[in-house]
Amino acid sequence: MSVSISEKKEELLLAQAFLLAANKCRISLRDRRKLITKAASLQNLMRQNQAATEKESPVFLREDVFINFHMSYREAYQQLQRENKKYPADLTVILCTDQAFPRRLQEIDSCPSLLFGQGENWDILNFPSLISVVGSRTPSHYGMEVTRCLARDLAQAGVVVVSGGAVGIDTLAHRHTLAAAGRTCAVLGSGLNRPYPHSNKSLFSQICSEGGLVISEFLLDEPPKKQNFPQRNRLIAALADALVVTEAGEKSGTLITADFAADYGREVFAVPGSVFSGRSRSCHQLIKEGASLLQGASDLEIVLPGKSELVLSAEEKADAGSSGKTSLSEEEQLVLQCLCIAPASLTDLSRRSQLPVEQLALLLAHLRKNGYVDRARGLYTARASCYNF
Amino acid sequence: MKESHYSKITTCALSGIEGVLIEIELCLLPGLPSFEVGGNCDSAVRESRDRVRAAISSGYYSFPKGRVLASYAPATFPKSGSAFDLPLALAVLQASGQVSRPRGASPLAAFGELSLDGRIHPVPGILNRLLALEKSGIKDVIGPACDFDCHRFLSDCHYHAVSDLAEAIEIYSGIVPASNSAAKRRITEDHSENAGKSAGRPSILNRLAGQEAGIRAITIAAAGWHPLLLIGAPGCGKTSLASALAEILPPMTEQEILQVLLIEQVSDLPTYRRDLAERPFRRPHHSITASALLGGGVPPKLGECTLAHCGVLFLDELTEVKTQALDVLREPMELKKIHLARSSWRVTYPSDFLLMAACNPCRCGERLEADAQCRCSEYSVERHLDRISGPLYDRFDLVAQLNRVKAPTLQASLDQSDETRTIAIQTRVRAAWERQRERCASSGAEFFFNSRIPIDCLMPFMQMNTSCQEFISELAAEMHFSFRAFHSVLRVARTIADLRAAEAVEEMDLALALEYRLALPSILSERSNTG
Repeated sequence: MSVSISEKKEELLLAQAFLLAANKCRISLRDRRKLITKAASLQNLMRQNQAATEKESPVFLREDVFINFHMSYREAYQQLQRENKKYPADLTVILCTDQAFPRRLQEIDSCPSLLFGQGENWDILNFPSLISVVGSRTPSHYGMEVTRCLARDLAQAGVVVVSGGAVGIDTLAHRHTLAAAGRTCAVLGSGLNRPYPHSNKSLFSQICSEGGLVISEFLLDEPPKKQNFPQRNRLIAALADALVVTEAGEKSGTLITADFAADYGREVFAVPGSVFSGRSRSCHQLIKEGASLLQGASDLEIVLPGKSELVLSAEEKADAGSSGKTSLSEEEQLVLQCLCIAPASLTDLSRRSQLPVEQLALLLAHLRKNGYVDRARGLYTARASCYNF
Repeated sequence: MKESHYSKITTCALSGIEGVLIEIELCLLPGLPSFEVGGNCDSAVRESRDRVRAAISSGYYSFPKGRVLASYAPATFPKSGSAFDLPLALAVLQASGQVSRPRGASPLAAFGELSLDGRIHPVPGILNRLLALEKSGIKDVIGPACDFDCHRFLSDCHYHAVSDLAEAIEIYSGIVPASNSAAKRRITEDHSENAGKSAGRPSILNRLAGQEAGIRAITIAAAGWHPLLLIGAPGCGKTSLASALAEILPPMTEQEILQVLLIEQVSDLPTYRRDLAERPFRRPHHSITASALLGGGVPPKLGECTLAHCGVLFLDELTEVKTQALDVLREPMELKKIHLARSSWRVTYPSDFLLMAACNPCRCGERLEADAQCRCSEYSVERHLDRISGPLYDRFDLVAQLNRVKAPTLQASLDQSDETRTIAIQTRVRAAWERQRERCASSGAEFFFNSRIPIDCLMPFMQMNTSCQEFISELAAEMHFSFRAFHSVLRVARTIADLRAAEAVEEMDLALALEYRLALPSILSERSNTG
């Protein structure tokens, strides 16, 4: 796909003008797709436009709407040309008719007519196995660890991880996939020229530079409107073979994503949490309503045929976990045991383990270096590798 | 010019906490009645003419008729305040021949504010002026009454505290040469009485049983003079810990007492410390402005940083303090003094304080509590803690995280109350100070605290073995420490070892020191979990 810079810019302009005109004339998603399919390209549509006659009006659109659309399309295009805005060079656009357009999206009724992308790795969305991982924006340490382990295992098995690029679980899913040299796709609820949340800007460029993709169906300068996010969630649900909710509290937006996934016939998985904490309440609700319970990446095997690596890696890990733990000293094991009860501060831990604070600090420094212990929200917490997850 | 129409007297002005010698010359000239003063005087000094005229006329003396001209030297030094009333009045009386100093009498100086009926009001900086006058060889000084025993700090200069102009004239003309020792004795008694009171106060530390993390942090801070930041939920005892810190610091040396007194004298504040050796403890409200913290105005007045000299400056609710005010703290923390330059004034105030600050981890304050739900988003937590700028945060050697004390422990803390705990901690801190002093003496350096060990002395002072060095360099590389952060970890580890009374710093000291360095990043948990 070698297109010159000016051609790419032209494509972006046309795509934006198309969306603007279609929005203005309230053309449905299906009719938008039909328009594009009929004209084969946006360029053709514009050319057609220049010679627009009433005869050419397609049967699926009312005549006046069609004429109106063509006028707005041309106006919007000219307006954008006059504005001559500068956009990042790596922005691309893909039409629903393109070969590289995600085939899983084409299956759904509300498939967008075109998608904007940052980066050119559109092929990852047609990989044999994609999993969406979503969850709370304010996760607990438990939720973070679950997401970390899951993203790592999926990445190692060559599965593409799709998420929403929001803070919290989404960010962790992207980050840990990248950390395990995996590929990931972020679906944004705002325009690509105004990525939201802003704090994740560097994450998005990292995703693009490491073989991933950031996509959005919105105009490049679209602000992060509240109503965009449910719309974005439908893409997250549709793009993957299955949806995993790792942690979600009450009234979570992930419930909307799960609803979409169920509508599209995608398997929904939810990771259970403590019944006391309330931080996994939405996950529990999903399980009650028929979602599958997820204990580890190996549970995803049913939706990912031919991914025996998942099961294998889980078994290996269990072996490695138990053999690695025996190399720890008696005191280190005592500290880990105390931590497995509940996260604790240094003082509490000293009370629990009956060890002096100075010695404990040293033990914890070593445990942290070896990845057994983490310090989140000021409290020491056992990492997943301490349990036989 | 006839001898009797001219007079000269020495007095003293203030520049910061330093006294500056001023000569007042006065002469009576023929002409229409007038009274003029010259020599870079501000309006407060010029107002003194009317007070002097009224005070002289109120007694058995008369104000001279004709033209009165007074000149203050050196004229380059800007003069302000009301302390020149008394010397001006004495100069008028001397020039008009109503009083005279006996021949061969020792050099004399005077300062004090006059009221219209001739009484003498106190002025700021009595001790500061006395020390400057003594240094220049003045033997007798007349001035207003002082609320502490100044003679403790004077060697051969004699201070005559007087209550009105008539008394001052008596001393000036040599009628009462003896010191008014009765007043002196009275003040000394007061002082010893107060000292007894402060020792009998119940210790704050007792109320903090169960808050071990906090007590450990303030002990280390006190032992090595390390700036300390406490982060914890509301009601976990941060403010009580601040008072406890002031309590466990060893008393001041004679030299420090003098420095603190000099500052207090010019501050317009009544002495609030019951015992002179008790360290200052300043706790400004969090709405404080930059100039109230640092000092400012024309002439430049001192701020809280200077008032906390040799003691503790406690900033509660650090995240609520204006960022502009917070960032001015950086220079005094490095230089231990403040240079203020305002138009024609150049003043330097000492400000060697131990900074202690406290704040909540987030808006709702519950973020660090295991069993409570924090309602704050990651973004709001970041915004909350971002109010402490990076450079300022870097200067806190100790950042301690506090958790609420659990109810059973709380109950136990109410039951037991022993003074021995406080005394034990005080002894440990004092012993740690002694160790630092010895170490500095043996290396031929002046005394400094562990928090101030120069970089070239740092490694010899640590006495680490090779496994320790590997441990710390590995960790430093992993944590991406700045140079300052790395050195501060080493300095804190040195203090922890000193508290153990150990010669060499060991791995566990370094691990505990790291604990305090990593507290803040761990509150922003999402960042810490990326590794």
